[in-house]
Amino acid sequence: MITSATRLIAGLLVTTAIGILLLACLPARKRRLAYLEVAALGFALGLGMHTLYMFLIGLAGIRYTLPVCLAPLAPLAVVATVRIRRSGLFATLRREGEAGRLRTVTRISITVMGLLLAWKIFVCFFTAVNCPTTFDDSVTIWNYKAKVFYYEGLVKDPLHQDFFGGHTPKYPNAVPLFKTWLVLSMDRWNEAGINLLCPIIFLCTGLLIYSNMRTRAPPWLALATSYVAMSTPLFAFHAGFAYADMIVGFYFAAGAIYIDRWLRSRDSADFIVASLLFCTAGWVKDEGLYLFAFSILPGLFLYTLFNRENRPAVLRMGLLVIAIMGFLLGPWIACKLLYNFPLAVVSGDYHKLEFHPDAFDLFRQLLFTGGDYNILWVACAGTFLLYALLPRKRHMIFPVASTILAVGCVLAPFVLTPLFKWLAVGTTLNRAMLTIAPWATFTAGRIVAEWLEQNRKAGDTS
Amino acid sequence: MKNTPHIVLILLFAVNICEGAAGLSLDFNDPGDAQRLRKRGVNAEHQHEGVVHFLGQNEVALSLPANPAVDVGACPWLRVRFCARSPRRARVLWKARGEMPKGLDRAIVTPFDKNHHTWWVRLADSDLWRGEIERVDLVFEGRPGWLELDSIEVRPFSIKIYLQDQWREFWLPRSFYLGTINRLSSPRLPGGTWGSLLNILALALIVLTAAACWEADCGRRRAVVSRVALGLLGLWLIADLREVREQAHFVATIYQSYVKPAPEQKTFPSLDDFYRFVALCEQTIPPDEQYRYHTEPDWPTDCRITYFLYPRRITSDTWVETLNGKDVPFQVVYKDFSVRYDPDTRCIHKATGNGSIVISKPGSVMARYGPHSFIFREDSH
Repeated sequence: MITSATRLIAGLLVTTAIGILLLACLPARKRRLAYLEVAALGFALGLGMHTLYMFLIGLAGIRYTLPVCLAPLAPLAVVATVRIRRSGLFATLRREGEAGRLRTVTRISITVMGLLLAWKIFVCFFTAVNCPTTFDDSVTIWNYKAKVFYYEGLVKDPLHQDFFGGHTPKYPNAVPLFKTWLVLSMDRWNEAGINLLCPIIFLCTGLLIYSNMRTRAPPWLALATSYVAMSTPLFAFHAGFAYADMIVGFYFAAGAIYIDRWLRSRDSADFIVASLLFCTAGWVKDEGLYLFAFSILPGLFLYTLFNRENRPAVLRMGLLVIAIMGFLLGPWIACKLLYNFPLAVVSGDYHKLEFHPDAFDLFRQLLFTGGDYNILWVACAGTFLLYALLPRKRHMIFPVASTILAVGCVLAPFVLTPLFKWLAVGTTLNRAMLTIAPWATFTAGRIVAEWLEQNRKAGDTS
Repeated sequence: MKNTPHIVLILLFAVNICEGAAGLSLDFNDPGDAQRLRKRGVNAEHQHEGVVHFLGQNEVALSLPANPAVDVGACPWLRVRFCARSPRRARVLWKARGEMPKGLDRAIVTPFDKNHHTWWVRLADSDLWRGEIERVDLVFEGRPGWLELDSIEVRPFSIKIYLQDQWREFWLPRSFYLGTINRLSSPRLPGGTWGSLLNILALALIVLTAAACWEADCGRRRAVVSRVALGLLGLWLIADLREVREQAHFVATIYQSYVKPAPEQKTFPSLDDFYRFVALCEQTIPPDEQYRYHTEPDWPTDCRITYFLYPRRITSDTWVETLNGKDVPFQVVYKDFSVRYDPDTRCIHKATGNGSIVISKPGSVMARYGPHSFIFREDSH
């Protein structure tokens, strides 16, 4: 058991190391990264890039073994060592900003939120370690594919039962392949080990939101935003079970956060990181690409409309992100075309327009009366009102527009297509909203931070 | 503030004087209580620790005889506490002397969450609640299954008991079932849910802030927004504390049922002893073999056993993962009452509408888990 745990930790560290080495290979940064941010980002990037590599070797007909899967670490380490000497990722690491003197109320709030977060982290790790794989999509898709990859490798014969992981070959493979990697590192199938992915993503969500909020907001607000994201009831519940919706939510939010950061910092490293994160979002679930195409790209376009001076740079970077994603996801998209997997999130039966006014009442019931999202959506709507009252708001257009568009992307299909039938049974909407909940929370936190900062400046000036 | 103790005393007094006596009441503490009910559509019953359990058909009718007749003016409320173990809805009917049975139009739609809920139904809302009521009926419709009745009363309104009931409802734990991954329930409150109340409060806070900010200057706006942000965070924290209670209950449930017990006693919420059966299959069937799976109904165990037993390959009514040209020597039967092993023919028989058919070659039972759960292997392999 101890050996298994040690090997599992080693497997996780290898993934994180791949991500950190990738970070080190990126162009030099003007802005620094926090230690915990590097760890979370390293894991997130490592997962995406490592599984894309595994997919390629699977396509090449090579069976998954530990040495084969470890192979990218060595050349990456050599390149990164050279790069680190020149650009110096580790030289740019920073500690989290000093908290300064805090009021008693703030200190108490921070303590309470900290305790609640510690409890939630305990619960999701307890659940992942102690519960066997429980829910339908885990046993029929995510963990099943991982098991097939582990025992049979990537089967490319469409007539074979294990074709592309069996059952649901059309589903992207980041999550199953990462679980396969964990099993390879443990050297035996272990339910608890592979189900730890969600709790780790849960932690990464909190760390990335906190680190990025902290660059522009006081510590209590950064912690509060992080706490709200992590204590959203359905998000915390999914963190204990092996589903992929919250993982897409994390990658989508992380990608959008680094785009937003790039718009402020113009560090090309941020943009490349964002591209890699969006790429992984689409590699986790098709919804990641769908959200990127219909909320992030239009969000950037709207940003350029209102910030003309930045138009050339944003357009250049927009094309670059599409190129990076196209290059990295190319093999998977080629497989989709080659094997006739649907390119859209849902099948052709749902590709027709029909209006369902009843959907709005169901939205009200599902989003505002249940226990899934606490008051998240009302609070987000409230902060968007605040945005309307901001004295200077042009630079905030990207997060606000992309969040609103993302909400539209999730809700509109239920109103305008036959997907309505899934809304009526109440099984899809709340899970679908998980894909945008962390980004909506971050945007709400950003608006409050911006509001406080602008009003403080206005107060100081007057 | 000085008057607070007086107000509390007055409220307590009001609460106590409002507590009336029930006109018609059964709490099932006495062994004979269940016998006083007239029942229809009940296949079996037993009474245990103040709760009577009925194994009901599609429709179960329970009649409370009123002797003497109920005073309709003094007792306008029905208070009933029960748990339906299958999806059900309940209707209330009554019969006045010399009249046909009548009832309320609306039904109680029972949450299918394994919890005992208390319902207050105002009978006096109906013009038909009049005359000398001889009996009150509770009719449960829906799927057959167990019904657990804690108490039933026709009574005056009591704010104390009503508040006690609502408090108890508020703290009822969320049940864990296989749809929980799609939607988390919120505690039931009179006229809505805890979630809807919080959202309404948050909305009110935001509307008030918007109104306050409209005319305010910069400094004032900042103060208002900071306070509202803290207000929303406060609401979130309150809701989250309730959620912590849910999580604690979940952790305790998993620990008590799955982590702590010995391997032969482990159960898992909603899947009962299924994982123990999986463990037995893993020990009995070699990893490179194929099996036919029998269970009734197929979901939720068919997809689960497919996953847990892989690389052993399944074939069943819903899943076909076996490789062509390779034998399927094992038959795995889990709680399927229509499938049995016949020692005389040494075959598996499956009951059909016209008797039974043989569905295997001769073989033997490799491991028996229960009367209707076993692992069978054909001889020729």
